[in-house]
Amino acid sequence: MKPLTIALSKGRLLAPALSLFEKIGLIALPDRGRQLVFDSTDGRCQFLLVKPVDVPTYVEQGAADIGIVGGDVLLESDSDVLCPLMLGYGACRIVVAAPRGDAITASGRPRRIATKYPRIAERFFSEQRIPAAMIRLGGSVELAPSMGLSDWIVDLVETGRTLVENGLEPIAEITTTQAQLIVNRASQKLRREGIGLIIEQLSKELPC
Amino acid sequence: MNSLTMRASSKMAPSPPAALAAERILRRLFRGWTYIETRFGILQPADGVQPADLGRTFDVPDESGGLLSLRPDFTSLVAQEAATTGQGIPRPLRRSYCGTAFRKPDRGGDRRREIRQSGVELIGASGCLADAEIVTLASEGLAALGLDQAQIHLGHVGFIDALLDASNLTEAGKTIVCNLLAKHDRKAMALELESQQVDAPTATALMKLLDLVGSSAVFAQARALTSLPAALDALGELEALVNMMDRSRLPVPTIVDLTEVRDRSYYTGIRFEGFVPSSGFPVLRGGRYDNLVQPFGSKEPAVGCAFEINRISPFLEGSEPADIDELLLCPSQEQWPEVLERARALRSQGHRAAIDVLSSPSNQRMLYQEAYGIRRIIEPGTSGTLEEEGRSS
Repeated sequence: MKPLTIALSKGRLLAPALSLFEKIGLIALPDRGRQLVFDSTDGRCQFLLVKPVDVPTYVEQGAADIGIVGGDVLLESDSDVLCPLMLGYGACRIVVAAPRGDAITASGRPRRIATKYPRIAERFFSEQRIPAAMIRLGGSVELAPSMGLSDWIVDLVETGRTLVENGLEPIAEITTTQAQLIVNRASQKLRREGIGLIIEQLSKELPC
Repeated sequence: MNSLTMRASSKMAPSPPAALAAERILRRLFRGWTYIETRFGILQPADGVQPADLGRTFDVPDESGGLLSLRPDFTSLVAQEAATTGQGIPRPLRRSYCGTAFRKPDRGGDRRREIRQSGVELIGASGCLADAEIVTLASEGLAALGLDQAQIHLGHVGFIDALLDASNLTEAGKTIVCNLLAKHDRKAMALELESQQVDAPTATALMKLLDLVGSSAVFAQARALTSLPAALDALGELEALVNMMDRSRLPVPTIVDLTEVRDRSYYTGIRFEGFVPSSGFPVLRGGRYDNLVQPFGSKEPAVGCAFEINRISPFLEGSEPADIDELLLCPSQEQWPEVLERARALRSQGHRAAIDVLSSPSNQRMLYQEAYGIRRIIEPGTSGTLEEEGRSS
């Protein structure tokens, strides 16, 4: 039988993910160098290292059976996947931040929002009935208000230090996120036992 | 090419020849089961759109200021036909369809705009035999397409409905619980059930729902979770069907699966999905929807299924039967009558014979031969024997 394919996000979530799979005996050496595809120690699984934003696509389309991805990326992707396990690490908040002294309000002119998460932001402002126009950025979102590109930003915040250093402060919290294990819907039907075993093994390694 | 064109074309069917081959195979199967193919217009009056499709249709204004929608699905069109022009036709009514439905992408769900489907509807028949006919047809369809590794996951919406109806959950609470079940998020489910103060037996049954998948042993596990009459009735109906399927030696097996909770408002009885390894998505969906015909003015039961052609066709690459059996060369206008006569003779024997109206050079002809799976190329004036070129059948 074809090995189960597990897509892992490169970047800040990779080390804890590799460590988890090492604990359940699927990976012997967490340091894989520059290898992007490798097999588990028992040959049951194949791991792919991909850009975080691509993990939901790999899993939703069935190119990977399982994935580990940040909740922020998953929310923004709107992917139709199963989310059977929160992994307890990579905890962050998605917030609306504004120059110090500003406050969230529905009145006045439409606000320009710089963000890497236009879907999440659009949904939030629509629910709050606050008129807003999204400006999609790829990074360094905190710069946008001081450069006159936007009024507010929507961004992922871990400690909040970067916001402070750029003269911003959170004015609303949209949601909290953490790393999640996701599963393709068809794989869950066809490879239920293999996937169930991995979920069970990983669950035992997570803090209660 | 501008970005709009690229976005639109990226959603199109990957391989028309394979999709056509799949449709041909299914049409043959449906005809054998006496399902009559119905053709529908692409444009439909917007006010006939069913609640499930509201907000998801592509609409265009007509010449008199009204609104038309690109058809968002076929099942409701068959139901409408059954309740109107088909009212006097003896039941059960067996109808099939084949074509493309158009829907705006569903946030967090189906992202396709063009959904190519072949399906059947059995209208005016309730009960296990009618359900068995559709599930058997689904299984035979998957096998006819060469998808022998497929599985059909068979459930019943009545089980989850009974559990939810017996709980003290509000409608909003039921939706939240179903969304969490649909995501298999057990931890959030447990917290939600606790915060909604759902009684312990119902909470336990809902938490264990995601384990109710597998062989017939699932029925005993499910009965151990509840004594609700409606839940037991649903299990009884499903078990009877599964027993029939087990005795029928289906070419593609069925798996008992009570874990699917989406589309509860659409289905009223059995429901099923077909899966193929590496497909990532269901290649087949179906079930009983006894409320489908009612909005069109006649209450009658209905059961059916649809094969997802776009999702099936990638698995048929390289194995699709030929679209053209023979290509007859016609180097000059003078040879047309002779070539035409030969083509007629072949067609009368059931062959698909095309005439090379381009008088193509041989390298171009080879590409054409490859694209259409042409088995023989026939040159005129060869004293009645067919000369074979290129790949054999």
